[in-house]
Amino acid sequence: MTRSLTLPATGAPPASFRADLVAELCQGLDRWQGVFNSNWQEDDRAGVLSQNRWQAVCEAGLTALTIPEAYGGLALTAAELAQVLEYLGSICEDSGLGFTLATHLCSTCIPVARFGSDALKAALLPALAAGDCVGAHAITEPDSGSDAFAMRSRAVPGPGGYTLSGEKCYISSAPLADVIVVYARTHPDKGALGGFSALAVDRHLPGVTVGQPRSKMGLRTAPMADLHFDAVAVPDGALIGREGQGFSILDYVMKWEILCVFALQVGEMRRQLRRSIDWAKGRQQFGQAIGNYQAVSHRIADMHMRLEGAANWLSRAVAAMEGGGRASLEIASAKLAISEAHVANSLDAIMLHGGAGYMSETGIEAGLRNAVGGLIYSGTSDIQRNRIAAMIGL
Amino acid sequence: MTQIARIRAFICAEFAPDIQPQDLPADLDLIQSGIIDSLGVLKLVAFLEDDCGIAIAPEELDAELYQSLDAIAALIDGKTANAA
Repeated sequence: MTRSLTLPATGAPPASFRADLVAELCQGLDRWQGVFNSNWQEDDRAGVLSQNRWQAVCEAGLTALTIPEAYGGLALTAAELAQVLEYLGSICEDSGLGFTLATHLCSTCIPVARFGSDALKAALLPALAAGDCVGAHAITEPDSGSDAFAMRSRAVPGPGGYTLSGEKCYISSAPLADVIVVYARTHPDKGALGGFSALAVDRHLPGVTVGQPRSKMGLRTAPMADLHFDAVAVPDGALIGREGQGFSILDYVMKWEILCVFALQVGEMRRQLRRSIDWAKGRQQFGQAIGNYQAVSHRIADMHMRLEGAANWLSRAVAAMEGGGRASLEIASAKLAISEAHVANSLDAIMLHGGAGYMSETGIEAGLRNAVGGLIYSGTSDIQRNRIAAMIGL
Repeated sequence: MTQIARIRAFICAEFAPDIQPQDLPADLDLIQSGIIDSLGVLKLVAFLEDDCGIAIAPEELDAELYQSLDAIAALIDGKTANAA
């Protein structure tokens, strides 16, 4: 099988790119493909993630991908990570499993490694790398979605720590998580810049309540719940970075989240297109393979164009992140382009498969249900367009 | 035009079109005065990186560093001194 390759826009990988390591990781994942995909449709119907499949993610070493080497991880760069996750997306039929991994890496592993104190890193990173500790983050609230820093959750500084109170909703992995990075206001007098902090909150602390798992359209194997914090005593040591650094940390985290989730999606689109081509060559109607009809072949050509456009945007975003810059424009563009391409291609995949595509048992309709979420999470398409317009000088 | 003059012109053109660049006080609190909000800081940082060739680390997205023209000048001076 051809390995999916995502190279930076220059066409050559950066000097730091460890091609052998990436190839070894991808080959290693093939061994786990059977477990990743086992009974995923039953999990999807039930809205759960079976423990054995998540355990396989941990044992395959995926939970350690971004963790610094000193703490038991592989410290993958943006380019390396994008390639491994794109490959995972191309072999894993269950988007929710990859999404849960991306949540773990981006919510907690990445900000703790980049901004955390040495003590916090020592306390969390080895367990996060092993997957013994599952990470999530809590940003959205009932009255603050796209306007994230209208959040009302408060973390009031006091002797030895913070008193955390507030409501968070639509929190991916909340039912699984052991540690939740909670964004809350620490300075009531300051705005988005300087007024908020990120705290790595132990989910088992008194006063933390995880709601019932929420039922949703897609990504049903990525469990989600609301969270309630009732005067939770969070120790000082749980602060990630400095007090007031919440905006910077969230900006950084969101870039990695978009990189990871949408690298997975480019891989998923590759698998979807391969399957559509195989179907179009094998399915006979009116005496010949449907792929011989231009109505079908042109649809497949369009899917290819959208996929490669999405892959090119991913490459540009990776290159911008590897370059060390803000990458705000490239990340927003990649998120918008990939999410919208994925929805369009998923609808085309259903159309190509006809009645079979509409049936749950083929797993094709799940692609569309899962892809729709990508228009909303990590900043909606509308918010990405706002950012793009602002960054190009409007 | 000096670098800080270009930044001053950018801030006025982007965020405060009613203010002439020469009239923008160097010590005016750009955030408290509402000239720059959180998206504005990202735009300013993109300008510093893309047009001025200054690398800004994720840890350097703090409001204090962009609070005024004086603060921005100090940030750039610090980076230039480190690079030298």
